[in-house]
Amino acid sequence: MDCKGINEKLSAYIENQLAPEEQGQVDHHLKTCQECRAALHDLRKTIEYAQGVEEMEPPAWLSQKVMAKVREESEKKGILRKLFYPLHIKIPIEVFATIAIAAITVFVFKAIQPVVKQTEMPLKGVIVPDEERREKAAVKDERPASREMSSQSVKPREEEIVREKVTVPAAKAKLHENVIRESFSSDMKAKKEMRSAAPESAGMFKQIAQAITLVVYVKDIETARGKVEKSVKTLGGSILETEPATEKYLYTVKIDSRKMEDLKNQLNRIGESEAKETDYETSGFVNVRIELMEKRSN
Amino acid sequence: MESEFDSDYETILRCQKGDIDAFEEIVRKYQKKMFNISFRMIGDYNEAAEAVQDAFLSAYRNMKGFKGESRFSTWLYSIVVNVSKNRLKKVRTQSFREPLSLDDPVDMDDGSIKREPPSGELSVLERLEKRDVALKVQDCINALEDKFKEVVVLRDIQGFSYEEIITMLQISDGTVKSRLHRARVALKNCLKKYLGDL
Repeated sequence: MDCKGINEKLSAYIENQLAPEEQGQVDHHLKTCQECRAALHDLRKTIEYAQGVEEMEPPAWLSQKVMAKVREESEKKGILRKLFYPLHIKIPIEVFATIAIAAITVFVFKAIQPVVKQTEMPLKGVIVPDEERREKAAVKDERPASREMSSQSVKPREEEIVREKVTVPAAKAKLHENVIRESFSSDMKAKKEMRSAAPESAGMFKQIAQAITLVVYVKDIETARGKVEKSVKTLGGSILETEPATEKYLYTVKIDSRKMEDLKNQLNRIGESEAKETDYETSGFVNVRIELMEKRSN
Repeated sequence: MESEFDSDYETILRCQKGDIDAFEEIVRKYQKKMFNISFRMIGDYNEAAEAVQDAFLSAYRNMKGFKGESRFSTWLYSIVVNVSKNRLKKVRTQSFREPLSLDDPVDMDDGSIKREPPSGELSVLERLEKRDVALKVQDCINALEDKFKEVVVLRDIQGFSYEEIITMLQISDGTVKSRLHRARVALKNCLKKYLGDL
């Protein structure tokens, strides 16, 4: 074994950590090698110096400071344990929290539900395919286009629009939904209706338009026109639109629904009046389509 | 189980049941040894005191995790060794930000000493102790790499057995012996530079 190999074993040699055989080899080498003996001496002295280092006294406050931190830690632990660890407290808290969350969820859901329903109303318009529209036209349903106005500025399209509408039948107590299909002769006409209805709308989703058609058979349309217009104004109504047609004259008027009966009576005095659709709200304004038709003498 | 022969067995049980007074007994019993391990590793009195506080607090938090697989004191010392190593890294990072006055590098066989010990600077240690051999030893220890420092502190200064060091540092017997030899050689060369012939 050379000096390098011996030097690497000196540390273990000093502490008797070598196997007896290795211990003997080192002993034998040291007897003959002055340099390795010096290295052994230096190493022993180094260990002595390290072992001779005096112990330091820790600061007097050390244990107090440690215990202060420990007590603080213990108090925190205690509070957490009181809150969450014992089951007889933990379970009721969890149950209470679950119920509270469920109650809040139901409350929030109920609170927002009507809003969701209302906002869906204008969106329920369904575009009816052209084929269906043509079928309807072929039937020539004389039911006039009802004026359904929404306070929201929904742009009518060329296509037929089906809108959901809630009506209150006079004889029935409960509400029911009635789908009214309205046919617009032109895009411009529809736009005009919307413009005329928009300023009257007070609430966002309140519907003021109703579908009522009154047909009045008169001897002379020109004479009757003046009387009709006068009657409407007398009853506080307004004429939204006039439309001359062959052998008839059409009015679209808006009137307080409470004065509908008066209007019918007045029209009866002008000619023979016939109501085609009479479902309307008993409060608010209604749109009424008055058709003045020349009475045929046969 | 070694803890059956552990002199702290009763006290440990009380601690694990939440008896703070029992933990105070532990603190009073081990604080000096803990402090000296930390001080020799860090080389700074105040930092060592902080490290010991952290180590005791960590021991308190993990008291229930002590299963008696080693002696309680060994478990406690391993905590302070780890906390001190971490604190030393932090201190070293801070000191690197300050300008250093480096002397000539110590001629080392294994390169374990990275720089000359800062004996020429006014350290906390120098204000506390006289400039004697013990201080030179500490300076040389400070200059050792952490892995060599910890074995020489635990074996030569604190006098722990090889088995205890193996448990504390979680390294093999061969690694302990190898590191210890290299640490001693480095320490010898360092001291010779200061003291001349040993």
